Amino acid sequence: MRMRDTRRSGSYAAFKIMLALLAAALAFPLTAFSAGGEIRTDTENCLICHRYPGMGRFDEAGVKRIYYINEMKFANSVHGKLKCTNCHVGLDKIPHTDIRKVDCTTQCHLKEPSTEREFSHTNMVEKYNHSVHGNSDPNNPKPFPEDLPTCTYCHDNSIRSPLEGVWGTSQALANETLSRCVGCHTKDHWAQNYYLHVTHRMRHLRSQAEIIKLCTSCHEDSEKMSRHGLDSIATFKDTFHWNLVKFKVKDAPDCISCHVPIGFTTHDIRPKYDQASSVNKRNRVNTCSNQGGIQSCHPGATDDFAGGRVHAYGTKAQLVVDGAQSIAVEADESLLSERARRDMSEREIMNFKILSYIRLFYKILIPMVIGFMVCHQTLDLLATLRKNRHNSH
Amino acid sequence: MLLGLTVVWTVMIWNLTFAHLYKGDSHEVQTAKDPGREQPKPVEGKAAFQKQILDSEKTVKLYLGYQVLEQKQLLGHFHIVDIQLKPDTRNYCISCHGDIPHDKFKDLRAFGNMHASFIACQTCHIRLEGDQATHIFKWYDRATGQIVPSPVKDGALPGTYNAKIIPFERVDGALQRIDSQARIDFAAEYRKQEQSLSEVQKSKAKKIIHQQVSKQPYMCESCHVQQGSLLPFEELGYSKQRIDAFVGTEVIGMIKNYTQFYLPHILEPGIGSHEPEKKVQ
Ligand code: HEC
Ligand code: HEC
Ligand code: HEC
Repeated sequence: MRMRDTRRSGSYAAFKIMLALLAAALAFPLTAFSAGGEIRTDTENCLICHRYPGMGRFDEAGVKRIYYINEMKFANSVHGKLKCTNCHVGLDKIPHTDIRKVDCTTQCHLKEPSTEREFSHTNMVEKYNHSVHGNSDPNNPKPFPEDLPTCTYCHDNSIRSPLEGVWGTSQALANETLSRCVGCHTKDHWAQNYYLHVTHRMRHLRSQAEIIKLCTSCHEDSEKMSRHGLDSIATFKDTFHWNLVKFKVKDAPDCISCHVPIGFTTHDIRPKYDQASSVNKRNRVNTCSNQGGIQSCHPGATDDFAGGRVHAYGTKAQLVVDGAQSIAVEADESLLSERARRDMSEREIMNFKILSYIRLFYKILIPMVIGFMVCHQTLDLLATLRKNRHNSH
Repeated sequence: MLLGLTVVWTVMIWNLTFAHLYKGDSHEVQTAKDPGREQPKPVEGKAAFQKQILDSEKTVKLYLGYQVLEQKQLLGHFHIVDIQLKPDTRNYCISCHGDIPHDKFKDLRAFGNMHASFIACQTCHIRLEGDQATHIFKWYDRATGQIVPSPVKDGALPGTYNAKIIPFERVDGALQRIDSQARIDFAAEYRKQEQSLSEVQKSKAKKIIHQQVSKQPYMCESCHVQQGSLLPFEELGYSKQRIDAFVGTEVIGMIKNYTQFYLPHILEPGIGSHEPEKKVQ
């Protein structure tokens, strides 16, 4: 559970049990629905075969491919209203001949109510392609495009979640709200779907730990990162913010907190030199304070405060200070050293040097102090032993 | 002596305090070597095994607000499948062939594997004839191996049972399940000693293991027929409505689509020289 959402009193366990019970009740209509063996979404009867868990094979690369669909899970998922062939275009012949990879920009024959146009994820994908993770320009492709995350790298067909909240238990809230809806919207199922569609978006779906796991799954790989001129996430793991996350402090900042604050979207994360980036100098005060968000972290943030360094110094600082020879012969020509020279101001280089000296000083001081202490204590112990032996003779 | 002690202490303290920092630093410097040039290396050896075989299933956590569900997710699978089947501990065919054994025939392999999760291999691959044929089939529990009452209750989702159908044979007049303890032990013993056997011995053992395995397994129509099906569906607990569904025109029509271009292959287990790929269950 995402920690920042856990704004609740001490009776947490009781609350959880209640929620679980009520959620089970919420799920009941769906259970009842599929008990007959028929499912609402599967008008094409794909599940006649695909509801069997063993349906699958090993593919040519030796990867286990399972063609099973759990009908309950699917019906409760964000795509639960769609027909299989809405996404799996062309899979309507038996045996299946025309098998294509699913394209998330496919128009899925639903009307998007705000524009009345056919719905698709095209606009999301376009936005994403222009973000730091996207590969927008076919004429000027990014190097190592295979490193970039695709839709399904981050997304699975997630299960819609009811609202957990400050107003009361999830089910009580659903009951009260839905009772106001179903007067006009007479199809219960439709109203429930709509309600879940909204509540699903009312909180973060991933916990801090999950967010960090997802982002670090790439950003931890220093080899991969340096290919793109980036420091690895080790620079975050050397900070106070990370320690808060590590020790599971409530409301601690994960990657999303700063890189996607209020007013920004995960699909449009930009590099820091881009003025549209949340961590661009222009936007830093807003990002640190996150005014208007559920959680404003540093409400009194000033330019000076927000202008400071957030991640620790990493390979880039080292490249600039120690020079390329400490790292690799030709490294000075690489993207990483190019970026390093751009990113490290005189002042930052100075700071890094001071920090290095302080670190070195302690690296020497502490072992010496402790070493001498141990030595002293040992000598003292030996002396006492000798004196005792002397006295007893 | 004292000096030695001091040195040991100092080294120990160093290791406990700052050594990791130092190591961390130098490690990072190394990995930054010649960035921008290095191509991602293909996974090799042990790493590849780990990646392809052991990591192909992962667990995902679903944060439903009221509870955290931890579910088995298949790598690269967009849908949350949450397969709850327990591993089959009884079936010895699986110990060599894996629980997704069908591979060769494109149109049928997925169906073969689909049935293999609730029908024991022997049901299709062994033809009991004459005296041996008992026409008795029962369900056994995947986890315990024991014969259990039919798991097919009205409303239970098809194929998601933690049990499988196994045939019974008649040996010297007595009823006995076909996966007898003796056969299980033989296969287990073979696997244990495989390394030390000669090719001739191996081939002989494999022949014994596959002795009953028919060259021609039962095909789809042996079961999916209105009259005279191999399986006694009612005894196995299927409702009339279910039976009508899977011997009905929709299923049979589809089976025709899949099998019309299919010429039965004569399987010759235990004779050829190629080994099936061993698969992790
Ligand atoms: C000791 C491991 C082992 C066990 C146990 C085992 N098999 Fe096999 N099986 C093999 C091997 C190896 C082959 C390949 C035969 C060959 O070419 O030597 C094979 C081949 C086959 C084939 C023929 C495949 C073809 O391509 O022609 C079938 C069918 C088969 N096995 C079914 C079974 C069944 C059913 C069981 C359980 C009753 C079983 N096997 C148990 C190892 C095993
Ligand atoms: C629904 C019946 C059915 C079940 C259950 C079944 N098989 Fe098969 N199996 C077949 C059929 C039919 C073929 C024949 C394919 C052909 O000749 O084209 C086959 C072929 C095979 C082959 C060789 C061809 C290939 O696809 O690689 C092996 C090995 C095999 N089965 C092993 C097993 C094992 C092991 C199990 C149990 C885990 C099992 N089968 C369960 C029906 C079944
Ligand atoms: C040994 C008997 C047997 C054989 C051989 C067999 N099936 Fe089945 N099949 C069954 C049973 C039993 C079910 C129902 C499973 C359940 O609901 O628990 C079934 C279910 C199915 C279903 C799903 C029907 C539904 O309504 O859920 C399909 C499709 C199917 N089989 C196709 C095939 C094909 C294709 C083949 C040949 C490759 C085949 N079967 C061979 C016994 C068999």
